[in-house]
Amino acid sequence: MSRKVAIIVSKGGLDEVYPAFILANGARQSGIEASLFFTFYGLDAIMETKVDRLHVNMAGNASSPIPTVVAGLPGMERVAATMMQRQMQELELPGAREFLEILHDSGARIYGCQLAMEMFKVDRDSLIPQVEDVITVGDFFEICDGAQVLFT
Amino acid sequence: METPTLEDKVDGLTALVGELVAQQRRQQEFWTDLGPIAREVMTVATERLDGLEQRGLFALGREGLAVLDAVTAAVEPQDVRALAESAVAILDAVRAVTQPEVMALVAEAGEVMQHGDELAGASPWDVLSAGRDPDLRRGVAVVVEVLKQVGRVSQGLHPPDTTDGRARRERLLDRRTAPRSRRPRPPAEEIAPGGVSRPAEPTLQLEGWELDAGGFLADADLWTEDFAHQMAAQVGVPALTEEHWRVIRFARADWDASRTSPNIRRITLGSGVSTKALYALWPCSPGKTTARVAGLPKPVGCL
Repeated sequence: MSRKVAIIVSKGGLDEVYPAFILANGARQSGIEASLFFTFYGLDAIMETKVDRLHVNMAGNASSPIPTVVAGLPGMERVAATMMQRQMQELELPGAREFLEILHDSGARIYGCQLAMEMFKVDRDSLIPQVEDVITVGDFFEICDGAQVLFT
Repeated sequence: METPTLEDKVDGLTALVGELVAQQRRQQEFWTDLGPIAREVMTVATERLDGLEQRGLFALGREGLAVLDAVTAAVEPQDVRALAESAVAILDAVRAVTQPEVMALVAEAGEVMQHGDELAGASPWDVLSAGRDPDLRRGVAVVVEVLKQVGRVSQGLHPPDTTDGRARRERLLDRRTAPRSRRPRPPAEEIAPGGVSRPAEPTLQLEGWELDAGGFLADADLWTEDFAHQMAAQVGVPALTEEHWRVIRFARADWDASRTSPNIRRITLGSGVSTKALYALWPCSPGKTTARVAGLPKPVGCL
């Protein structure tokens, strides 16, 4: 039986979605089936209006070089995201939208969480076209039957 | 010498008799004199004894004898033997107490107490920070253990711990020094290399070509188009299309330029073949398969 991996993305920070993207991409490159399930703030990563403006929250981050009192100032999450994106570009990492396109093209399946979308008043049309479906947790467990499940 | 006459003999006897009589008379006089003194002495002695009697000495003596009788009646021979054994234990205890370490401890404690007035008072902060002192913690542990034992014995609920003192001491110290028990680590041989157990990929064999352990061409510079055809057949692509060749040629050119195997993103950007198309070209692992067919080493990196 072929290997499968299902990754649940529950947070929408730039630094929080990229690990999931890289894991899913690595799985596809290794011939492993991959599914991504975006829920709660993870929905930001598949929303047309937000996917290009994902932020990085440095406040309360013990590993951050920015002191928490400074990181809490308005706009710092945007500054930190810009700094991180610059580093990513140096490594020729694709941006979030392009990464999702690559994932979709490589055969990874992208799902949105129905309950989270109702909570945040997000409709189907405001999601990026790479989203395969909007599903419930029951659907998700059917999809990831036999898969290794990762929660990020 | 002349022979003594009868007269001489009689004179001698007479003198002897007279001497004896005189002696007898002196003795009679002595006893006559002694009589009153002896009576006096007897009177005094009697009075003294009477006084003692009145003070209960003889009663006490009689009682003492009674007690001794009772003790003798009550004490069995085995009791005496037990007493002898106890004596050994008591002596052992005394010896233990007088061991050099114990004596040193007592001396140290005495020293500290003697100079107690020289010590500054301990603030609450001092008390707290002293709690981190390992000697203090061990000492407190010993005291607590002793108190627990005293509690057990005094309550009579549990018999005193009679195990060998050495074993008990080791157990006590073990409890304080042994690391907290953790989930036992499985032996190294039970952990599969790489952490995940999966069937080993059958190593690729290609006649006439030297491949490395992963099935990639050992020397990338020996690559020919013929190798690409053979390897493609091996990995499940019977016929190489023009799109395959676009990818292979780009990978070869990139190798010549940078001496590294291109990752998928580099291939798609460089060759113009889309991600979707690339995944469709090769049965699985497009990055690795491209490197295989293009005779390059296994690509490194996460993209």
